[in-house]
Amino acid sequence: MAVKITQSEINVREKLAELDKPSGIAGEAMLRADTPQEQQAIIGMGGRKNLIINGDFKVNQRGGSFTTKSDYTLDRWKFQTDLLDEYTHNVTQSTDAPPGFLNSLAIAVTASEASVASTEDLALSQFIEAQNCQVAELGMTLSFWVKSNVTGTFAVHVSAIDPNKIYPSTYTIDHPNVWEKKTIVIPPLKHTINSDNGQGIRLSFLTISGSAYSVGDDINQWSTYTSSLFAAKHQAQVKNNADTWKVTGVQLEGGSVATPFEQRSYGEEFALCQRYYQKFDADGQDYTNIGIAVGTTASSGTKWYVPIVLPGGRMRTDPTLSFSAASDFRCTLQHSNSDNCSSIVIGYPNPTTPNLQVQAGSNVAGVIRMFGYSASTTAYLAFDAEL
Amino acid sequence: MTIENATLNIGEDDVKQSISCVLDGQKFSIPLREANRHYQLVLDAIIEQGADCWDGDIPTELQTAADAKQFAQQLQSYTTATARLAQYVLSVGREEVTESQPTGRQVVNEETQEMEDVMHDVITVRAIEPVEARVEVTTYDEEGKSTTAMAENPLITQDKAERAEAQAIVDATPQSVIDTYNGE
Repeated sequence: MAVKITQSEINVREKLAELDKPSGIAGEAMLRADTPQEQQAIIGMGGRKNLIINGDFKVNQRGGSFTTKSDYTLDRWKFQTDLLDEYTHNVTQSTDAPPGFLNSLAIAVTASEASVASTEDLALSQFIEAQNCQVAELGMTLSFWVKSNVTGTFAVHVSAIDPNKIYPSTYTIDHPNVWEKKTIVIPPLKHTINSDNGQGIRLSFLTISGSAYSVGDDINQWSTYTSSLFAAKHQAQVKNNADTWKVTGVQLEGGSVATPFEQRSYGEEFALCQRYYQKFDADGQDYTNIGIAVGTTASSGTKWYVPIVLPGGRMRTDPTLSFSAASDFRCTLQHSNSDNCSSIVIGYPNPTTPNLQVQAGSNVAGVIRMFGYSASTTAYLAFDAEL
Repeated sequence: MTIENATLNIGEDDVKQSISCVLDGQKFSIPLREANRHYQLVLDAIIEQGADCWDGDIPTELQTAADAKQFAQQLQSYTTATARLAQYVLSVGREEVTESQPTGRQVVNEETQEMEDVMHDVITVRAIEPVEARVEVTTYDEEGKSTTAMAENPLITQDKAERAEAQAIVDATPQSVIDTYNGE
């Protein structure tokens, strides 16, 4: 008996053409990815991946430019120096930036360091809160854009504070005054970073270093921290008057692939910065109010207590208070019945609602008034919980 | 950073809550909290400047906190320096160390008729040769002309400097810190 088998028709020419269909660059990268993390990074599902806050330098709550060589400047970015007796600089939020960015942090040298002594250095650093750093155990990738008139080898390092480890590395600026993108892949850290609100990781860019900090040899590997690795192999010195060095697009992310910079909105970035620094600012408007002042009697004298609700929410720890001038603030019932402050201190520390203790006028017990700006349009109250 | 005119602020319930001071010319009010970076700066100022940073006497609790911080720093430095000095000297190298260890096999002792471990020598620390004492070093003058001469090996020079620095730290460490390090 003959059996007839029938099958639906296929177009052999079409099927052969499909065999030639290319998978594309992204497809190839997907196939080559070693880990699910790399695959996630390629298809943009990495979530909030950048450990660095204000990596594109768009937030500057402190405002203006800075000449400090040992304190915070643009939000979250701090200068650290040893000695540098002659060198001075001006640090600004520059609008010179590579495509895709609005701002950079710019150093302009305003007085030369004639000769860099062995223990002189200058680093721009960001400390990352320890409880956000556990991704270091998977390995990380640092990427950033940099531009300088000084070419040569620059040191950069990532330090893990709790286990006292450092990963020193270098990058080279090949062309003067041209934005260059740099990428450094950092292998997994085999030690634990505590889950607390202290210092977890420090990222530092060196612009000047003496031999004591650059003499170390062991770069591109995790080592026990020693000062000779702080700027290991650093050669270029941004130390002469009118030298410049600019950086932006700083991203430190988990995995071994440098993915595109995580573009966060200004509001998101601003909110992230407020965990570490926030400010009440008269912003050109005098006589506006901040809160309520309650008159009390204490053994130290009659004072106003002003509970402040921080607008950016809970800070990393109980913040330090600084302010323009005590007399920029007043306790007032109405405009004609007010007393300017003569002192403002923290009465009760708190990371969300610090209470200020304010001296203004006398016989205040049992009275309630408003606390706000006096005649100043540039007054500010700043709360600092930086690392 | 220079701290001046520090004073303690007392809250309504007589609890000490914050420190007022002038830091690099600006007024600050700093909570008495270990995690606050400015509080740590105040302790550093007490360690380095003593009473100069304070209006009047340094309050006892702050002096105690500064002493504890200094002790912890000295212990950390002493631990690191001691570990550095324990490393072998590059110019001398390191001798091999062997230890007699059981092989895992046992035999009968004919005299006692008891089982005994068979032992063998195991290298526990490998020998390291000293580095070359002197090496050729090439220097260039301003015109780019090179001069080559024999000089002390830079590795030995660095080793000597690091050991000297570590020894200086050990020598300057108070006995109470050394006693704590030794578990006494």
